[in-house]
Amino acid sequence: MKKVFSLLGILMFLASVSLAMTGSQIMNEVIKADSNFKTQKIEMHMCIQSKGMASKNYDLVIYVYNKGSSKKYAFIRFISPESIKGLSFLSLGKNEEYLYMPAYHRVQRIAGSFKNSKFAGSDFTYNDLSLLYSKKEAGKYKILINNASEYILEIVPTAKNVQYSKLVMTIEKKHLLPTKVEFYKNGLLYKTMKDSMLTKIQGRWLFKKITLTMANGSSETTLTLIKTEFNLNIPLNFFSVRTLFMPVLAY
Amino acid sequence: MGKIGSWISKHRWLIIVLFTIVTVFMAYEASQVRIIDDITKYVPENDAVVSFFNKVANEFDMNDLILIGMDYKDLFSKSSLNNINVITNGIKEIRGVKSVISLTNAPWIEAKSGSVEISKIQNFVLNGGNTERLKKEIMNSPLFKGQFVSPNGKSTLIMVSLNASMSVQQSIKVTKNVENYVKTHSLAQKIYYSGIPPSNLTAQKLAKKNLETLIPLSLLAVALILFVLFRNTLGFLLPIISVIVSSTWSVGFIHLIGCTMTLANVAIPVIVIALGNAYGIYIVNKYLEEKDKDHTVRVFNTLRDIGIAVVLSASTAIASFLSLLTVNINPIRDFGIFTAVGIAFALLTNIFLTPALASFSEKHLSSKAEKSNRFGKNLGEIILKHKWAFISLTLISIGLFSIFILRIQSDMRLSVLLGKQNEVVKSMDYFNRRFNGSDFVIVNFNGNATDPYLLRSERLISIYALNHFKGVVGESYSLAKIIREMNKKFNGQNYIPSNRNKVQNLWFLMQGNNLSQLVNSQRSETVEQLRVNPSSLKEIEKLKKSLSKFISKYVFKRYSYVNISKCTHKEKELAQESLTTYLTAYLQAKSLMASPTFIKSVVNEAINSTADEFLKRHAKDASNRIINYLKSFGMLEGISANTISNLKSGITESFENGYSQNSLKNALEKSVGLNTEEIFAPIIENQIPNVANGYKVNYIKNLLLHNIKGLTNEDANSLALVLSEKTVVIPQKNGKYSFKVGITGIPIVYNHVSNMLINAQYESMMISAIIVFILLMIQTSSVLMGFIGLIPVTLTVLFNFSIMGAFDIPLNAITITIASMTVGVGVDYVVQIFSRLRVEFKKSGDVHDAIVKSLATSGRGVLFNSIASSGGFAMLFSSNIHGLRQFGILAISTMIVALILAVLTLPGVLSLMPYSFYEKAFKLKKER
Repeated sequence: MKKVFSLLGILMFLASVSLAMTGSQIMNEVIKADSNFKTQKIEMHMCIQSKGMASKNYDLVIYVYNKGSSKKYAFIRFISPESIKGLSFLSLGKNEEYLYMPAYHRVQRIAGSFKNSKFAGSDFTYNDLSLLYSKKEAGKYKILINNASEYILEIVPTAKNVQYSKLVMTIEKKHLLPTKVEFYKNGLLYKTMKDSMLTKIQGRWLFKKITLTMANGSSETTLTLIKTEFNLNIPLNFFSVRTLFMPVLAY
Repeated sequence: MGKIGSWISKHRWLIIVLFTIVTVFMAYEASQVRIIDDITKYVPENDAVVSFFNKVANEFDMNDLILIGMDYKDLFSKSSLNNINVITNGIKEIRGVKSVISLTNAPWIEAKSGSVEISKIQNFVLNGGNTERLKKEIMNSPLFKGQFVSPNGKSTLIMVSLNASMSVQQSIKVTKNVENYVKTHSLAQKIYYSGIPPSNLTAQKLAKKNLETLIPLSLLAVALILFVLFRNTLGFLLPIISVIVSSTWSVGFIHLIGCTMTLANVAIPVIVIALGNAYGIYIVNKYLEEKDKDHTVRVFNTLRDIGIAVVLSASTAIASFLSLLTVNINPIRDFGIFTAVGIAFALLTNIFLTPALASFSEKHLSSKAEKSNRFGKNLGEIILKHKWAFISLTLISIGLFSIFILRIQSDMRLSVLLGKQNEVVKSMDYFNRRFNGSDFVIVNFNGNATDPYLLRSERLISIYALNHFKGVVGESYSLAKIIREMNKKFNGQNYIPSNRNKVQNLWFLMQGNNLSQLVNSQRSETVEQLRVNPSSLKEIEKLKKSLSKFISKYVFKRYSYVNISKCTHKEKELAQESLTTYLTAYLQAKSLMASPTFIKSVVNEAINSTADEFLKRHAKDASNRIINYLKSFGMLEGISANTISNLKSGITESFENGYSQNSLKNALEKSVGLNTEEIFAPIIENQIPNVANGYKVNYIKNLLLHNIKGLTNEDANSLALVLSEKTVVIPQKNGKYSFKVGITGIPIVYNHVSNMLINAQYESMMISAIIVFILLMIQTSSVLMGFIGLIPVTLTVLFNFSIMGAFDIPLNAITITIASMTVGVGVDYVVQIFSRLRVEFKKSGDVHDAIVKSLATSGRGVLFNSIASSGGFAMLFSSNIHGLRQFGILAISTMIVALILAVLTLPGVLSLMPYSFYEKAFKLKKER
């Protein structure tokens, strides 16, 4: 009987702790849970299916450097198709993002509303890419639902140049992973991101498939995780403009 | 026919009841008739020109395109920009709208302080940017100025594409919704609409309004004239009732069989009223002439004596309208069919209903009318006395006037049909004035849309069109223009690169933007939109021919790409030929001159000089550029001034000694050490080709500027960039790449349909003439009489065409029908005269006397008909459709000329024939 009361006591404590958490704190926990690594390499396949059109397929590799829960560096490079092979994107923070065009051997800093442009014609914008490597967006976080299995948060972005009026994120409590994100524009549902195929890789839970569907049914983008590795010995200086020029990456 | 008359007399109530029921039913059907006018539906769908247009227009959302022009007090104020954004987004949500492109949602490429943006002005609006700066940038943007903002910066243009799968009626409904939305949400001072859907909407409104007013007005005019002429109730009431019935039936019939009307077809009921009343006049006239008191006898005699003539008149009119079936233009064929049906209804009504109604009257021709018969006889005597004078005068005047026939033009444009004062035309003028064009000529490129050579050809063609057709082509919008602009903003290079990967890199950045009006989803086709002022079809035709000639002369059909530093001698020769062709074409497109020797030498220089030679010459400057490039990314932050100086001298040394990867490596190792060399070498190596080529470009540019008079700095730069590239396109019969170029657009379709008209007119006239000749021959049993009957008909047609030429009345969907109508009217008069001549000749056996009496009797009917019909057609002058007013002029001239020829000239010709001729023609010997 004592054990039962002790267990109940612990559960009530945990519940009160979780109830006491703010939306922002829950988000921090989510990012924290997904950031227990120094570096990560992700090989991905991206398929864009627009209504009435042939699908477009890309292979890309993403490198992430965890500088702490509030800051992550990311390097994205296209591997195929051949026509854009080597095209790369480097994010060293909100105001330091670069695009490398291999055919021109030129790097361009990208800024402002360009980040709301579609990434490779997909349903992701350059801004949305941060969701792939768990970066916390500046905004107001509010808990909409907190039940036994999930949190549903409403996020109202406060950063400049963000096109969404709000995001509604569903987080499953067990692994603290977002399972669904709804993007709203002017109060209307604009697109929905759903995560599926939960898998454990190198002791970490993550979703192998991410699907972003436009609310008007015009297109759907699917990202499929091919391979991921954690804590490779990638130095910080790999995440630099210089690497953009490198035709072959060392990692 | 007499027996039919007896039957009618006996069953007159049944006939009246039946006609009343059918008329009420048809009146209901007529009230439901829909009016749809669309030039792309004028010719059969399998027509090559139209099907190509439909294919291209459907693929690029240009088939049902609405242009909305809006004048704002201050276009660049936040409230105006916000309003344009609201309208753009609002229209997008309207059901049936496929896409909307405007100032606020078109791809906006911006370069500022070392960064680039491809965004939309709507983001700028939402984020509250500096509007003064935006105004300056828009007015300097070749993609926006002239395209979405008028060159004077006061007006903006929104392009709305409707779903191609919709019917014309549905697209009209969506257009109404779009117009209503803009009307209720726009803060603009003035709003204008152009394009096929708004034109169709206006045409529908206009046609409906005209139909509602012209029918009662024509009826009223004919009724008044008949009342004045007959001066008795029967004389005006019965022909009017007959045309009310037949015109109601003809419009009702169109809806009953599931067809629609066009703007041109509005004239159908008016024609039925104007022509159909003749049969009523002849029947009533003859009925009144009958002296018998018994109505059965009067009806019997009436139909016996002129029934056949009326049937024959109507049959020839029907046949001549049916000759329009040879015209492969749908509304004209419909016009022919429905007018023929209307005439058939008029015949049916006048054979059955008019005698049935007349049989209730006991009135006879008044003494006044008989006096007028005497007047007719006197006139007949004068005409026969001076027959040669009348014949000569007619032939000479029509012969001289017919010179104007050579001036006849065909023009199917809605703007010409509607006239200058119409709202559609005023809107078109607005777009022509403000945006240098109200319509589009589309140059379609069928091939890989992002192929560099295809894009470069696209640009070349637009330069040619804009420069050689200044008053016609006002703007161009194409993928080539966007790619070039991106290259300019991203890389400072205002040209389309030859390197396929470079284009792919630029295209990659454009993905996600709405370019559906320029490139298809598979990227297998792209179009160049040339915005044109379509006020002259001749100029549009000239534009099409010139563009085709330019393309066939300068654009390679099959080609490959070679790297001139690695290619064979033969390929190098082809590369030289290719660049020579390009330079020559560019200069021709710009109307600039250069000697062939210079062109050859500059191309030779461009191909044979390497960029490294230029790097050696400009080593110090190149080194500075590279250092500045490194600085722009903060790569040199935290590095001492001494190291930077060493780095610079190391790079300079490497360039001065002849650059190679190893020489640079050694020089950098020596100047800044191994570790620093490893950091900078990849970036420097990547930048060297760009920097080196820059010197080559500059050199070629200076050569061009010095040797080509009038060449602008921008053109010289663009040309030098092309000439300095390592990758060169070469013409090859079995080349790896190819594309096809086609030219289309609504103005091209208008031209095509207009050209079809002339030939169609000849064909339909020939058929009409043959049918008329056969029918007259049957009536008179004489080949010669058939020919004589054709004389006034042919002369009336000639006179009408002369009027068209003299008064610049073009051949269009309405006026093309005038020839058939002329034949119908002309033959009607001839048949009436011939028919009466037969009766009178049988009675008197004297040619002179028979002709005089025919003139006094049938001449009277013909005269009344001519005046009454002219009165009916005169009501067309009240129409606000210019084409209908022109039709009114032609129709009245037909009535008058046909009357003159039938009454003044034909009797003279007939009097030339001897007694024996008529005896044989009218088979008198046999009958006697």
